[in-house]
Amino acid sequence: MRKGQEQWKTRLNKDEEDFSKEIKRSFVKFEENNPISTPSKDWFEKMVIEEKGAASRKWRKELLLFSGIATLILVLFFTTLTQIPVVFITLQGLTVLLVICYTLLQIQKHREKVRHGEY
Amino acid sequence: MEEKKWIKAAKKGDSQALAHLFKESYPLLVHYLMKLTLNREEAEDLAQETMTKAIEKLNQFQGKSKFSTWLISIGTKLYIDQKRRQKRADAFKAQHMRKLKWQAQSQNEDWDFLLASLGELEDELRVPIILKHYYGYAYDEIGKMLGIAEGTVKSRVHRGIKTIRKELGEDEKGPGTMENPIKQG
Repeated sequence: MRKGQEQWKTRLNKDEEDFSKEIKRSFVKFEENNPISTPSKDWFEKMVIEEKGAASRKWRKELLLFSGIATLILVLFFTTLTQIPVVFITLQGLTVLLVICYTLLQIQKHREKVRHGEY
Repeated sequence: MEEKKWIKAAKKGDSQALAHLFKESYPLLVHYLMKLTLNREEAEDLAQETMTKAIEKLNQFQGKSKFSTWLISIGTKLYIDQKRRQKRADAFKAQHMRKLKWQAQSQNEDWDFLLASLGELEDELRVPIILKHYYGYAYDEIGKMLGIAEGTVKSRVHRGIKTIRKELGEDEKGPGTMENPIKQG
């Protein structure tokens, strides 16, 4: 039984080695037929500086948006808590319901992904 | 200078060091992405997107793998995301395959049936096969790159090879033969 398994493993390894050689040969040919040119060092430097600037602007924008939303939520929270408690309690209840629904939906989505073997 | 020194400098904000790292990894990255997309323009666009993402995530790079491996990992994830968004991905792939076939014919070369069969495979099987059998990454490395278990990578590689063999009609012949089943002309 063990000998049979070893023979099968050896055959599988040999099979994959052959496949590896073939795929390398095919891809080397593919690369030769599709040559690419690497841009100059200046191009890469310019690109890095531009992208860094864009990333920095994006970060600042997101931080501003986050701060704005956080302030709005806090203002709403304290206003309803001190001025209209009924609205505050209703909002709390709705939020809890929303979180439960969202979590259940995510669990269902995850299960479907696992079932289909996606990554 | 060693790669680690370039990475250290790049992390400290040295744009020239980062540009150097990108330049060194660029051919490998674009060739890899070309094997996924089967199209040069798409691969170059994806490489640009990969570098943009790498700039944003540079501080998260721990330097445990090579810089090019890290870029390949980002590029793979971007490619998979892009494919999920593209509803007409299969149509594009078929179009790229036709272009490659035409290219081979115009250069009086035999159409590579192995590449064609590989191109027909689903991405979840094709990507691990390319990473394992062309780039020589270990199963655990591929697992980390794709965010899946090592065992899943192994089974996908085996399943992918089996599918290709079946496609090429080699199952009956047994292992070790990868000649084209269809003769040209």
